[in-house]
Amino acid sequence: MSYAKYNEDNVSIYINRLNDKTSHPNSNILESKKEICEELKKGENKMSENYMYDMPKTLPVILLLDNSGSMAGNDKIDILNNSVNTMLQSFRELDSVIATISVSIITFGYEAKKVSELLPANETQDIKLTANGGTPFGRALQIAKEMIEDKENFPSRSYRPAVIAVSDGLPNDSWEAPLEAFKNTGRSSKCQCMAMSIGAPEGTEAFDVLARFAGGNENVYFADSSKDIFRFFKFVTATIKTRTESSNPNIVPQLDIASIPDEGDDDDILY
Amino acid sequence: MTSFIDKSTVSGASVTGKAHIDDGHGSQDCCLVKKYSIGTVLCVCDGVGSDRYSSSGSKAACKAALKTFKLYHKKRISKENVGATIEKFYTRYVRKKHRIAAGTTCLFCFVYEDSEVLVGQAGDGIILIKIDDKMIVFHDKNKSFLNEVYPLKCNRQYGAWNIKNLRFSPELNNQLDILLATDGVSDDVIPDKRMDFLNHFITVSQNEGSKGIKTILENWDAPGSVDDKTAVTFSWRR
Repeated sequence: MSYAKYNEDNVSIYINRLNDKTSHPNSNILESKKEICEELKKGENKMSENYMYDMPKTLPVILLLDNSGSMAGNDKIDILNNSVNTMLQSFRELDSVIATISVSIITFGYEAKKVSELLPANETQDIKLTANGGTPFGRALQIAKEMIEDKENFPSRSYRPAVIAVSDGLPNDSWEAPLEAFKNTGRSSKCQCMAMSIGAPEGTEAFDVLARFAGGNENVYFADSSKDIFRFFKFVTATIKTRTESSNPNIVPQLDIASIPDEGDDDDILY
Repeated sequence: MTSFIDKSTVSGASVTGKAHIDDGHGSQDCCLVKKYSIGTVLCVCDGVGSDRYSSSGSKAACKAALKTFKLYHKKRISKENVGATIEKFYTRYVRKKHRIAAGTTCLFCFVYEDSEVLVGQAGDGIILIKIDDKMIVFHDKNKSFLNEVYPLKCNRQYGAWNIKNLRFSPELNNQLDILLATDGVSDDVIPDKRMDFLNHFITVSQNEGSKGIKTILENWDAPGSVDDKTAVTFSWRR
């Protein structure tokens, strides 16, 4: 039986029942009508669920994490693992009625690869990255773009994704063309991009690459201590949380990273 | 003899989304369903949430669609000029001081007594048209992500109208169903289930009219659905 037919049958059944009850001499007509209307309403609600999504809309967060050999120095990779895992835990605990968070993680070190498919935050696993190899940021961008452009597999009910890049050095692959494509063509061009430059301050070539990715120096955060890395990920968490609670999660809130409190007492210089 | 338009039923409703109830802004959607002897005009408009005067914009676009419906019938404008005419009147109907921020989508369907059906879309939302067993879907194919909209604006010309004539004949066809809905509704509908969605709305509108449509929208329980919701329907059976 098709859905429409079911609907029509439902209505006709109730109308017939109404006729049956009202024709009975001892029936309470008003009571019957009320009961029938309520049943009809329940039936409609049940039917409407058949064509509606039963999952909330999603806000995808894609992390591009540098795990090149240089990230091994000063425990940067461990600090990154801890910061990301703290953020993932915060995402798992979020309970927004507007949008759920989905997370995918792409790393670039010995090779660029997707270490975690786009999954609802509560299904994500903690990361434990190790550092080695070069900085193939261009390839990481290509992987991210392929994922975002894949309309078959990337959720169609997504708000504008947030793409977060973290790196401590200059890419060592051909990154210009992938960056150009990511920023200027297709769905990836509409993403919210943010970046953290570890150890490479404004004015360095490595910082400039991230600034081009993030759409300006103001969207790149320079980190020279473990506190800065924690603070950046707390800032990302706050930004994403605010977006999921907004009536329009596409709008990026104007938060100030300086307002994010420091984490812990350690403040190791990282380079 | 009863005309084709007389035999048709129309209904429509608009409800304020939870997000706009909470922030006190009120609904930014607007809809229009009007039957005339010459035909029926259906229109739904969704004001751009970030524009301060978007509710004025959506009302103006509905009025502009009505005006254009009449002009097109009188053959004062061609099909090619329908979009531009709606824009012209939309801008005229928005108060001058509101024109800076009164963006809106505009979905319309003109069903004329002589059986011409003219459908048009600017921005997101959905139009479903079923002629006998065949369903035609109009939606914004350029939309990459949710809440992303390229709307009508008073200060620039809209370049992406999707306007089509449909073949329909009350003598040859048995049924014509039309549903227009804003993205607050259409974003929650599974694409493969659009036929079920249309059938449900048409059945309810035939049995309960606009009140029934309003009840569906008020009880809309898709998770995380907080946007304004508007839908209008037209149905005709031989």
